[in-house]
Amino acid sequence: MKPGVVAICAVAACLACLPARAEEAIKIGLITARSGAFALYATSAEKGEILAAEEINKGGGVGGRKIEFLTGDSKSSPEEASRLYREFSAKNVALIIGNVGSAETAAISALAREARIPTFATVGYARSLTEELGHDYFFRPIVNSRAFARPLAERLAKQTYKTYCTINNDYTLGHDVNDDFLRALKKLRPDATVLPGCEFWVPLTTTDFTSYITAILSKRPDAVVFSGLVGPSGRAFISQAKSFGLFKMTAGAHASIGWPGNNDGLRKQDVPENLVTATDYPYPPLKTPSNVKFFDAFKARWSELPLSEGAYGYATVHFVAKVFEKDGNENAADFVKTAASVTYDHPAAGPLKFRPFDNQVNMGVWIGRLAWDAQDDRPGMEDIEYVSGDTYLPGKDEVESLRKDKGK
Amino acid sequence: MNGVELQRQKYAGMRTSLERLSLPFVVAVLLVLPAFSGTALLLQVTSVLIFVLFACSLNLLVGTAGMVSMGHAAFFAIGGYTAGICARDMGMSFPVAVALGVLASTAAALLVGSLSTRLSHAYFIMLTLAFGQLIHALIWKWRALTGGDDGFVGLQPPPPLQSVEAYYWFTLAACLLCVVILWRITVSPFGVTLAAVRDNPSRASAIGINVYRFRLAAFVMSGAFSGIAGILQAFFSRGMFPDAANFSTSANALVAILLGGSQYFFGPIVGGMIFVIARNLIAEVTPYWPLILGLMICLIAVYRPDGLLRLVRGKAPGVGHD
Amino acid sequence: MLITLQIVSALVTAGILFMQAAGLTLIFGVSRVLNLAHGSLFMLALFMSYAVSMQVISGPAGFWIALLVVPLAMAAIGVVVEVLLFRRIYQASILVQVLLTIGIIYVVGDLVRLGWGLTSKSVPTPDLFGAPIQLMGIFIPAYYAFVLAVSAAVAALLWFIVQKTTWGLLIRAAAQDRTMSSALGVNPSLLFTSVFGLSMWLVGVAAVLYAPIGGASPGSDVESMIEAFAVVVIGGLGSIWGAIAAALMIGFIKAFGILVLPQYAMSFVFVLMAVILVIRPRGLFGAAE
Repeated sequence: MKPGVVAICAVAACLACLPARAEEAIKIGLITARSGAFALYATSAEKGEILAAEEINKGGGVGGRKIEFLTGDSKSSPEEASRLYREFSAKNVALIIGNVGSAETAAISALAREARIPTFATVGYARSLTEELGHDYFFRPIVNSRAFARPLAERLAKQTYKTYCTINNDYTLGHDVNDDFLRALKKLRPDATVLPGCEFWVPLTTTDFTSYITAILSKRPDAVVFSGLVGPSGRAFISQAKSFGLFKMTAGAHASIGWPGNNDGLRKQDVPENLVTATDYPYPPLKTPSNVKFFDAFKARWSELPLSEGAYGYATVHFVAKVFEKDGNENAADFVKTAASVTYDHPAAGPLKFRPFDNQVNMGVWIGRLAWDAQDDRPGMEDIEYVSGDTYLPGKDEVESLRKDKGK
Repeated sequence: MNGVELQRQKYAGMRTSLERLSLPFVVAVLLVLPAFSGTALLLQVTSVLIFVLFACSLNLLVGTAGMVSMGHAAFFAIGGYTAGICARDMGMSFPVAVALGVLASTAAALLVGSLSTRLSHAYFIMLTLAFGQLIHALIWKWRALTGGDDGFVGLQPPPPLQSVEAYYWFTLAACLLCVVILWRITVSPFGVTLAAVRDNPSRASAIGINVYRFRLAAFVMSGAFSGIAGILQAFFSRGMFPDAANFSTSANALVAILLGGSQYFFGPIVGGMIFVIARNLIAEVTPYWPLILGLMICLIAVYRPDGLLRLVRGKAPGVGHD
Repeated sequence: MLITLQIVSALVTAGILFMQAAGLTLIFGVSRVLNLAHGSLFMLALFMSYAVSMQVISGPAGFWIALLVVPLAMAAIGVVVEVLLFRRIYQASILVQVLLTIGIIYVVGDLVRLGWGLTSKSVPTPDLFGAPIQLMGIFIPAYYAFVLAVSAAVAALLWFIVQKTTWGLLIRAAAQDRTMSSALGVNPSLLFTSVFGLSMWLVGVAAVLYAPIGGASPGSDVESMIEAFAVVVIGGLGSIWGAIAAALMIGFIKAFGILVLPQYAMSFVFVLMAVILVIRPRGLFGAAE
């Protein structure tokens, strides 16, 4: 009977891991990648969410009811994220927030469509999530990957650059960003071209770019665009390009190395001169009252600096609380109806709106140059300019046709 | 044919021993579970069942045939992706999609197996790992078909299986059926010959057994059952993601086999349950669960290399392959 | 100019790859254990060299001290891991060996996360090599020339150890035939431990040299493991010369392959690996098991 005994113990252990039910409070499920590839971004988002919930609960809650989180570690795995989503939905949570990467977000968004629970995603910025794959119950309170293309193309089109090389990580976002950028650039400057044989795709986590850089050097382009090089790849490319003097010969442009999560760990001497980039949470922090309040509170609560995701998580929970307050209930259908009429107060970008036809917030980015933020002793930006999301997000018709094509 | 004798004894012993009572008991618990458990537990158990089936199918290769494949996640993923693509994009009916999924993973296993099963041990491990990563890369790159790293989503099981409870029944039935078939294979003359090949390939070959053919057959069968597990996973998670084909998926199944003990048919079943439950319980307490799990694995590898089932059972005869 | 540049970059890639993979092949040669945690230990060494040159000693001396200290520390870790864990599993089944190393992957990966967090770290190029140098009519960063020189020196040192010393004789004997070496009256455990130490020393040197180029990033363990595997699979398990040949092949295929098929960089190494194994199942220079 002994293997049987082990099995019974196992089943019993499984039963024991069901948390006790809490009454009264408004339950929100948090699916957070505490370990794995997305843990850096996700933990900052989770900290922003906890901070916001603490502020709300201290101020008397939502109509007297406190906000309570049920939290699960997705381990950066879509299968785990799906399982947690269904577990939370079985526990009748009012809403679910996914602090998880794009693939995990796609997985939980598909379940949200089925479960009809309002679902927010604070880390996944793949374009398709609110376009082809979007639906009424999925909300994206962060920029989408279109923010990587158009603002950068506009900035570069103003220069004299004609010949380009591109190098990107070989994954969906890398392809999306590269295609969008080239399309936007061509529209603005029909004479711009990518040099033949100078469009490189490298595996994720590549850190040895020597042969790529020497190849680019010998092609002598006016500008190198490497927006799709993310994480360690982006970092390694910059420092190796610097040691080969690449940026002295050609201009560099990267759509998102300005994002705090993407340049965290970059040293002062690694920052190349004249690298055009964008961010969705600028450093040094903007001096607007709402941003100072958020920034100081976050720093005091967690003894660390917020990443973009921290600001998104914070703004998301405050937004959700406002919608519940306005509705006076947690009915999902009411939530979806009310959402578009409530402002989403991003600490840095100010009051924004969810677009009713795709639930994508009209968040923009700050475009400028990569620089060193001496005040916070981390990389930051200079010469920045805010580009509103309304300028590059697809219109209602485009979203509808994308969804229709998908349905075919 | 000493090894064969021992293998026979081992499983004969197993049938007369207490498992005879415990197996129906576990099945009974699984059968009455939906009556008294919540949805969350059913979801957990469903995912454990799928993982256990994957581990069992891998153990046909690892335990019975003595070949450690590091690339089996590829067949798991191919099954899931193929069935998913057939059902979602080609509009095929569920049974047809499932059949094509199994067929695809079987074909892939035949291809990879025919190239790798001639090699032994270290080269076999590395070649299966390389093919596994190649298939992972292919899934990653072939975006038009697989959705790339954004994953393949929007998959639905047929309406009767859409509720959590219905899908649990379906998974339970499929897993029980597959496990019984795997067990019949293990105790069949084929399985006994496999074990003989494992224990002494040169002697097996000397008495006229075609070692390569038997290994290839084990590889293909194991790949086919992995594909079934992958199909169950795809419809359970409502989609498939490239990480399913990754090194870590294969590694997790191997860990489950080690935890239970590769020499026992029930090893991966018990080990798989322990692995998933331990991982999820530790993850509730600390995000540093891989550290604790890793230490556990190291300690078990060094001090209990026969697996945890060895603690509650005598040393199985016929152990000590390689 | 293009050709020369690509040759230089191929050689640099090959140099790092060789040092990274030589340890794996040495360990397999004497002990027949396939260390899946090899990439994890490389990642650990990258973070250690970040720690030494940035956190402990910040200044121009940091790199040189790291180059001295990190390989020695890695060698010490290698010795401890061999004595505590590996020594107990040489006789065990290959499954147990594989699982021990999977366990180490989990542990090292999480220790790195515990110690250095989740972000990639960049490590400065030593000041001495700040300016590019001219070589055959092209400018290359002086640091790459240094890496080339060191990897050539390490390969020569390894050749000397393996071919000219008693220790090397024992390593070769064990790689040929395990029972023969014990018949020669060799103390196998001392040999295994020292080879483990030497291998980890090589990993340490490779990591300190690579850190200023690629930085240290969490989660790079499996990637590094597969790269090192590709080298030993192509070259043949247990063969140093095979590792050199394979590292060069990979370096050149990467450097020139991207000129021909820039879109498919991802698959070059895997395709090469699969083709070699199908044609020559034991790699270019592999010994029988």
